[in-house]
Amino acid sequence: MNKRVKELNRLNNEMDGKLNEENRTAMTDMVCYIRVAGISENRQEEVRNDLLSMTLDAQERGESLREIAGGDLQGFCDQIIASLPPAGVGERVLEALDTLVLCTAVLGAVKLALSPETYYLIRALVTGSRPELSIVITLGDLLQYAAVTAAACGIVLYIAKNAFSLPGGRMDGKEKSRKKILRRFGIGCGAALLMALVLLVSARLDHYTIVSVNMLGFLCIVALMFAVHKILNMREVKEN
Amino acid sequence: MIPSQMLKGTLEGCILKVIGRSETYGYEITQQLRQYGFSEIAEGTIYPLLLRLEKNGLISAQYRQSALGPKRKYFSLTDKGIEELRCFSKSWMELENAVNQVMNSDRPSPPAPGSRTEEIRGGNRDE
Repeated sequence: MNKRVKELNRLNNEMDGKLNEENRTAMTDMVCYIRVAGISENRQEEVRNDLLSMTLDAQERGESLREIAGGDLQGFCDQIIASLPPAGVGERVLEALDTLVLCTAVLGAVKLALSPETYYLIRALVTGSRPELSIVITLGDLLQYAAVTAAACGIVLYIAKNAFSLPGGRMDGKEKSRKKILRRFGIGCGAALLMALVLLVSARLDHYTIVSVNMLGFLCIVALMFAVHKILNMREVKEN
Repeated sequence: MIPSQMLKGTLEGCILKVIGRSETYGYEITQQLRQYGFSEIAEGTIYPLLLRLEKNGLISAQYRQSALGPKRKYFSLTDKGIEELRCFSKSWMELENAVNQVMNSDRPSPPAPGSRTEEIRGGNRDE
């Protein structure tokens, strides 16, 4: 998010605070849905600003966001998305890279904080013994990294795509709701089983060392990933 | 109520005409269109169209502070928009004229030579 988008985002958050509860719920669903529609961040915030201005105006007149959208929030969002140019290939690649870099940085920091090597290092520093400065990356670590990154992206995508039909959003007929709940229960159970399987397999694969790196070097890589994420966020997006 | 399929092609032209009269914003455009007889139009119907017109360079937007509430986005026609409105008006006149002629004529027009209607009629004559 570059400076201009960040400023617009701050302004939008301020405007969002002025919405009443009904309009804020509807706005949250709409913004969630638009966030994963493949539109540049800049356009997302511009559209959000337009929608917020429109809704605050409507609120003054005693109307709701649902009313100005003609009753169908998802249909309204689909029309908005269809009217906007999709983000370019370069922009999408950079966004994916940004997600990957941020995940690597966060999971790297978690690995560093929770690894036994860090515990041994602290103990050595406290007792004054010779510290061991290497950290081991195993095949299990790589599997966990891939699984956590994929799960995080998948969950965000699922919630955003179903923003209007998840509990709290719009529900259709009773029959359809029951089917939906069962489907979601199935998806949840499947995901939980998959994660349990990943944890079991990764525990097994923890014996296979891929590389042993210096802890300071590892810390530098984590810091570098955060820096790349910051740089990617500062870039100016060329609109289509 | 005007069916949405009928509205689709004409609403953009009508929005251009409203904006062409004077700089205006979304809600005001909706109100004007309602006064002209587009009774079912919601502001949400207009917004995606305004986005598309802006994307295609037919209108340009400027933010202005409103007396109460947040800043408003005021739209005005670009040169391309003025030209598009001219084209729309011409096309609409032709369409209106053709539809009126079809609707107001009492007798069916003769089928074009070689058309399927003429063949069927010819077949019926032979019988």
